[in-house]
Amino acid sequence: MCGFGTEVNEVDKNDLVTGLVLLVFAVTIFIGSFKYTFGEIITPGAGFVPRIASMVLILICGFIVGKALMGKKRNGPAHQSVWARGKIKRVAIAAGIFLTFRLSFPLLGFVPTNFLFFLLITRLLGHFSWKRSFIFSCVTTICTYVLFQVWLKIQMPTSIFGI
Amino acid sequence: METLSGILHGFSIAFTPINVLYCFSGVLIGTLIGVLPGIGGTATLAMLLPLTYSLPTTSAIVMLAGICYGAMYGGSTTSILVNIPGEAASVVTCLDGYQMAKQGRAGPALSIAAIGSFIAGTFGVVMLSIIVVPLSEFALKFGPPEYFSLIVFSLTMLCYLGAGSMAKAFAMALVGLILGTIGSDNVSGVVRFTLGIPELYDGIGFVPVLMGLFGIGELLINVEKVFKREVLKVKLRDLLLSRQEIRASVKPIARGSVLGFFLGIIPGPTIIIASFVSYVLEKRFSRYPDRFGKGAIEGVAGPEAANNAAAQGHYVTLLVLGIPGSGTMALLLGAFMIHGVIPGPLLIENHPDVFWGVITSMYLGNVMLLILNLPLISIWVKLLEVPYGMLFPLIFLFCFVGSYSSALSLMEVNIMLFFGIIGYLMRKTFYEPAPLVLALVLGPMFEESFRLSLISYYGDLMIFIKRPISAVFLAVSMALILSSFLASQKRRKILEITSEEEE
Repeated sequence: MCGFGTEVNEVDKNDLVTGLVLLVFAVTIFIGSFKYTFGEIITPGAGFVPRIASMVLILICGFIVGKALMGKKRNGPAHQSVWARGKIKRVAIAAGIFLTFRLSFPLLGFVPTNFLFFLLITRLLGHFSWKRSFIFSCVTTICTYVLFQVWLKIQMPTSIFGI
Repeated sequence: METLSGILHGFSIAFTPINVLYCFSGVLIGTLIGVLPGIGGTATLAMLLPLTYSLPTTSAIVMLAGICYGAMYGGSTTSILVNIPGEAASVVTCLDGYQMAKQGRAGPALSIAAIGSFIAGTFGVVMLSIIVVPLSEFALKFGPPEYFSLIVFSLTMLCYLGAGSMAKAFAMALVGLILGTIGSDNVSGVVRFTLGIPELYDGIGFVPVLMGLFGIGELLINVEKVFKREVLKVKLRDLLLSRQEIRASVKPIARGSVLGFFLGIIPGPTIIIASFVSYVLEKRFSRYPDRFGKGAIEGVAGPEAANNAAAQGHYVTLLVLGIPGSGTMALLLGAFMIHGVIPGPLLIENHPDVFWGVITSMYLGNVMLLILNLPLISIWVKLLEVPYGMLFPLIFLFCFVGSYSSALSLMEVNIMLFFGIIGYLMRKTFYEPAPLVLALVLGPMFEESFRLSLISYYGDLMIFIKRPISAVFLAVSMALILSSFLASQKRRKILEITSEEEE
């Protein structure tokens, strides 16, 4: 849905940016496809589909970018920004915690990483008290250890504590 | 006769204690996932897929299929009691189901949703059993040109039926196709676009991509809002339906079942579409259309029947043609492939145990779901009170471990996290992930069938039109693209005229 003034520009800005990002991706693939044999129509090579697909993608991205640049005014109710600061902050915290989990996993091992992860998430995003977060983290860490490492026997990296 | 003997054989497999247990596990987990908003069926399948690696093929597929149709049943509970759809296909149930609950009629709403789902689900399975054998015989005529055209049709249909812009959906499909070329080429063996990373020689695994796009992406979207729920209470004795309510629901359930099943055969988000179309249809057929939106039982019965029948219809293209019509079916296709079974017209011949075992397990699964969804309703209501802040980290952990355990490699986790952020950004900028996923899964088959067609027919591009089945698929695809373009032009002209009038 679009409104007037800033609402119309916002929708078009999203399309403009995403269209350009996809265009860069498509051009990169198109250039990269020249490393592989295009072949002939009778015997298409490894570069055939990537080159054709990236060419079509370039055309579609051109259409998306062009439409975004045209940005006509339309009737309709105004809508809230999809990039509201409060929402993005929570997402950034979550993404940061996910990344920290991934980086800690091979260093600290499954159990300590798991415990810290549950503690941070329930405290920072769930807004539980420290006590509740701590209890929940202990219980779920034990249960997931039993589930994944004891029952399913999935080999996980171990920490310096041997767990 | 072949169908009947197949079904009987299937029952002998489905009713083994181990398969009954896995069927029960699947429908239980599916109902749980359906009841809890914020966790999708596709993400759940992606999370649980690695856990099925060590299971026998039939048991694994029975369980995963149970999760799929179980989620359809469970989705209505939260729609009715909390006014939040547990599954995308249960959005329509919120309209009248929640109103019924507010009027103290939550019991009848839940009952008719469960009974309608059971009847439609059973109808869907019966139709599936009848259709698969003749359709498989027809599909044996498919060669590489037909498979190529069918994939083009499936992707076009998915883009056409999607909620957003068709251009954006096509862009996502092309991205998926390109991502599908990463790794070793099936035809020539050349390694493409791996950037020197050995883990990518076998291609980008679709499991971490799916977990990222649907699991992590959905989590990041949900974390934006503080989750508050008000759950309406219901007692077991309130579940009984009056005669009037039963009479009012019979025809909507019947119509929803037929409509849903045949719509479900078409690739695309047709489960959701079936429930919407059913709602519109029931409103049109009703003598009192004004009651819709204010607690009309037909507004619950029809759509719930439609979405369950459509869920069964989706299995037709997967089992018979080997073409998944949605992200969920793509996951099931992946599950088949991981177990060394290729769905398609030869599935009945090569793996009759798997084929008939899975289909007949759905009869059993539907009965289990009826029992789970009515007498155990108070347990599901309790689950709705679990704070999302506790579920959120558990979902992430399952996705993480699922990705890691598929190859015991952190590269899979990196891919999952990357696509998780991509999935979040896609949702914010109105790009649908389903075309990307479907194209990623079908990409290798698409390329192989295209190249084999050209090799087999000496580079004759017209072969895709000369063969009638292929020509029909391509013609319908072109018609859909043209129709979408003409519709957008018409919409633009109307908006221009309206803007001019306002000025």
